[in-house]
Amino acid sequence: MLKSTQGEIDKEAQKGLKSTAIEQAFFLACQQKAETIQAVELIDQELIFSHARLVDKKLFSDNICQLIIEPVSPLYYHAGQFINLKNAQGIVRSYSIASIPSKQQFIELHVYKQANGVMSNWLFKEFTIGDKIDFQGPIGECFYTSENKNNPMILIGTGTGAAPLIGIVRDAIKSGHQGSILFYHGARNFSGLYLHDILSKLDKEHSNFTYRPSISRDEDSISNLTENDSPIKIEFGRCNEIAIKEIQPTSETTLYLCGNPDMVNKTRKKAFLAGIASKNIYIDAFEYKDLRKNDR
Amino acid sequence: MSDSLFERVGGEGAVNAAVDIFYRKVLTDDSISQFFEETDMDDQIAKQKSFLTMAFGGPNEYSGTDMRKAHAPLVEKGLNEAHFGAVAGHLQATLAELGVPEELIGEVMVIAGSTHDDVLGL
Ligand SMILES: Cc1cc2nc3c(=O)[nH]c(=O)nc-3n(C[C@H](O)[C@H](O)[C@H](O)COP(=O)(O)OP(=O)(O)OC[C@H]3O[C@@H](n4cnc5c(N)ncnc54)[C@H](O)[C@@H]3O)c2cc1C
Ligand code: HEM
Repeated sequence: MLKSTQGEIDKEAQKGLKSTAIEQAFFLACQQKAETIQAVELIDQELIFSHARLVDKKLFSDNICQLIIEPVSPLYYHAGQFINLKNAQGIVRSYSIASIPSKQQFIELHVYKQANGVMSNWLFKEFTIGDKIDFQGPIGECFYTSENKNNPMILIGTGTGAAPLIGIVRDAIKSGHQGSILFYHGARNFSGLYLHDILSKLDKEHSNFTYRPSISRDEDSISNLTENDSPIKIEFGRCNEIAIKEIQPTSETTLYLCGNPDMVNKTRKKAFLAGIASKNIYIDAFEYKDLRKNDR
Repeated sequence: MSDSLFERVGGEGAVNAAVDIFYRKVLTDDSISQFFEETDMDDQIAKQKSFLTMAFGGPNEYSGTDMRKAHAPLVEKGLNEAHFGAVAGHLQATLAELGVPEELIGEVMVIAGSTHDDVLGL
């Protein structure tokens, strides 16, 4: 697969590709007439680093924070894609984009503080407002395309898997998405549902948006919640299992799956067997690999 | 000259339409699903497409020796006549579901059948 940076792509050369791949001007080289493409990029080539500056940082909960970074030069991206951040020690890790492109050029990231995690702890403790950071990207095909405006959308995410997903929801709402949007967010305890207020508000404001929160471990963290704390009921159980039980997909349904790799891979297969077309399933598995040793 | 079987079946469009239906049948058939358990769904779907393209008489680069090599590890794990029959059955049912005419299904099955000895390492 190649990416066209200049010229016309034949429809033939994009047959069978996901709509998010087509939107990025990817095509199958064997099907493309050469004279219509003037410039191409090998998509697997080593991506160059660019710079950004941290402009804001706040805590969502004890171990999840929001970073707002501003690239030094304008960045063309889709919410839901990810960037690779490189810190001063040369550690490189991927983080997903929760914001949608706007005039301000800010990129919003959500970081979970992994126990003994090198990069996430560095981002939490050392990375301060005003600091510069290197990044690669945007990368990835897990994002919204408005050609599916009327189709039902289902999003399932665990932990900070909600970061790309809320980006995708923001993009869908901004694009005037007409179909239903069903968002399952799962965490271990109530504080892990770090977008509870934002997603509850979206649920109230948009008739086609439904937020379905759940927690899988610490049931006590929700037992004392009042109607006031959470007008939306929080289920006890794994969000992917709850989702698979209740969804009624059609061949038009688009599914986005992000977060824990094991959850993503298992749910992907189950959702496929439940009837969702393989080309309509977009995933971002948060694999914990060190990018210096292993490209991904 | 008449169109090739691949074109008459519906070409690449038919492969794309068939792959989900076929892969679902394979994954839910307990007698053969163990051969397709590889976790990466993208890889699996790409391979199913190669299988369908070949069976539809489409352009492919596989020789009998390639088929032998690709399936040799499976033969070692016990791939046999019954498994071959099951896969062939799913292929036939997939085409029927897509409304491919009987005679064309027959032609596809002949191609699939011709790989029998290589797939089973006979
Ligand atoms: C495409 C992609 C997008 C991502 N997007 C985000 C995002 O938006 N937000 C976010 O917070 N993270 C995201 N991640 C994960 C992120 O890239 C890092 O892997 C994560 O922050 C941990 O890095 P670290 O350096 O802190 O931990 P490391 O130093 O790499 O790991 C510390 C230790 O913890 C273990 N470990 C790490 N994670 C887990 C785990 N989940 N369960 C059990 N053990 C674990 C490691 O094996 C190691 O022993 C994404 C990953 C990918 C691949
Ligand atoms: C009916 C005739 C068959 C044909 C024409 C056929 C064709 C193919 C082709 C073209 C590939 C791809 C090879 C590659 O690119 O790596 C493949 C791989 C594979 N086939 Fe078959 N196949 C047949 C029967 C079967 C049967 C009966 C089984 C098992 C029940 C099977 C299981 C597999 C598996 C598991 C792979 C993937 C191997 C890997 O991971 O490398 N096939 N087959």
